[in-house]
Amino acid sequence: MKKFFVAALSVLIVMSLAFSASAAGIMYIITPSTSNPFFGTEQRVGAAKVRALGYEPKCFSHDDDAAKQLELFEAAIADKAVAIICDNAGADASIEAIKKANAANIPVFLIDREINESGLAIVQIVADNAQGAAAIAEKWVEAMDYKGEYAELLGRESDTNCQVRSQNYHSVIDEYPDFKMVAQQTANWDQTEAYSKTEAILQAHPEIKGIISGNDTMACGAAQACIDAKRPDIKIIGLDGSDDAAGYIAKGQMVGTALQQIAKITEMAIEQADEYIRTGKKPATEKQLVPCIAITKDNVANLSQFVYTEK
Amino acid sequence: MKGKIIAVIIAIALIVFVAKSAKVIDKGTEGQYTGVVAFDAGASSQSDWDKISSQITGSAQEISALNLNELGAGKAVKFRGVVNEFSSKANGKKKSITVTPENYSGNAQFIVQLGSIYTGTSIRDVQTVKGFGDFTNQTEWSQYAKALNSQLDKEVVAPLNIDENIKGKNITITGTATSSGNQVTITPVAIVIE
Repeated sequence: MKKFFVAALSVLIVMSLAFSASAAGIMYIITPSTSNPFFGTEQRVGAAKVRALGYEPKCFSHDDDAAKQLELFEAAIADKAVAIICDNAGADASIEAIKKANAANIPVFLIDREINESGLAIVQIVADNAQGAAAIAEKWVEAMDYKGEYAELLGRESDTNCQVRSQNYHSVIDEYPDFKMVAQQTANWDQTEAYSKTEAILQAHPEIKGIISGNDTMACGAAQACIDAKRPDIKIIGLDGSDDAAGYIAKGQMVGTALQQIAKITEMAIEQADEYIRTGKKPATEKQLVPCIAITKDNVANLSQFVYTEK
Repeated sequence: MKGKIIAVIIAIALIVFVAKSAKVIDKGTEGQYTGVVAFDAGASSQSDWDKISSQITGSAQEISALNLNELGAGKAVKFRGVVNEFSSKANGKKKSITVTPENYSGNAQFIVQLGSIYTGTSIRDVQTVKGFGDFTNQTEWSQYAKALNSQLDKEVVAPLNIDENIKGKNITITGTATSSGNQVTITPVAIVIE
C-alpha cells in the first residue's frame, strides 16, 4: 500500500514538472468584441501563436469599455501573467490599466490601436492606415479614369482613424482637378447606416460615379445599396480587408480595399513578447507600422480571414 | 456699499494688469513660444533630397540581376534600355514610359513614372535618411512620401520636358522599383536620355 502511494506521488510530481515545463506562463490577449471578425482574428491567431511558443493563452474582450478592460488587466495581474497583448479600449482611457500592469511587472504589447503616451507599452504595432488609404485611393482614381463626381462616407468623426483615412484618400484624389466631391456624410462605421445614406445620396446626386468609404463595413452597405438601386457603375472602395468586402470585390461590385494585416501584427507582438520574456531585450522601436496591402480583383483570391497568402 | 466699490476697483485693476502684461502673439509665430512647430513635409523633403538621391544612386543594383518577385516595399535599381511607349493620362498629370532593360529576357513590363503625379511610396520606403520614428504620426509620414515624390518631379523629371519624341531612344534610369503581378513600376531619381 505504502509503495502504491509513493508510486502515485512520484507520478504526480513528474506530471506537474512536465506541465510547468510545457507552459512558460500565461499570456493574456485582450481585444474589442469578437462579433467583429477583425478582432476575432486577433484572438484566434494570437492564441495559436502563444501556444506554439509554449505559453498558455487566455483571451477576453473588453467590448470597448475601459472599466471592463481595467478589470481584465487586474485579472491578468492576479493570474501572474507573463505578458498582456492588447487591442486597447481608448487612447487615453487605457493608460491607467497599462500603468497598473507595469507596476506589477507585467509587460504590455499593444496591437492595432495606439495610445497617447509612449514609454508605457513595450511596443505599439499598428497598421499604416495613412499608407493603406493612399494605396487604395490610387487604384480608385485609376478605376475612375482620373475624373468624375463622387461621395464620401466617413466613419465616426471623433476617431483618429476616420480622420487619417479621409485625409489620405484626399491626399491622392485632390491632386487631380477633375474630381468633384458632391456629398460627404458620416455613417459611423455602420453597414445599415451606410446603406440608407447611400440610397439617399444616389437619389440626390444620380450623377456620381464613385463612393469612397472609411471602412469595409460601410463600403459593403454602400455596395449593396448600389446593387439594389441598379447602379453597378458606381466605383466603391473601403479599408480593412474583410471577407465580406472581398466577396464584393471578387464580383466586381467594389473596386478594392486595403488590408490591415492584423494576423501579422498580432504574431509580431507575440514574438516580441516572447523575446522580451526570454532575454529582457526590448525591441529597438516602440511604435512599429505594418504596411497595408491594396486589394483589388487582381489579388483578392489571396485574402481570407485578414490573412494575405501569395499563391 | 464700500465693499462693492473695492471689488469693482480690484476688478478694474486686474483687467488692466492682464491687458498690459499679456503679450499678443502674431498668428503663425506660436511655435517660437511653444516650441511646437507645424510640420512642413515640403521643407523637410527639400533639405533631405540630395542625401536621399545619392543614397539610392549609390545602392542601386542592375535590375536584370534581381528577383522581381522580391522587390517588396521597393528596391534601388538601375538599368539602360530602349523606350517602347510613351503614355499620358489625366490631362498630362500621369505620364509614363515603358522600357525594355538590356540583358533582361523575362516577360515583365517595366513602367517608369514621369509625373507630375506619382503613385506609391517607394522612394520614402527605400531611403534610410529618415524613418517613421522621426515623424509625429502616420499622416506626417505619408505626407513625407508625397513631398519626396514632388521633389523628384521638380529636380529630376519636369526639367526634361519628356514627350512622345522619347519613343525609340536609349535611356538610363536609376530609381526605386516595386512589382505587382508582372508589372514593375519604377520611380526615377536620375534619368539620362541618349
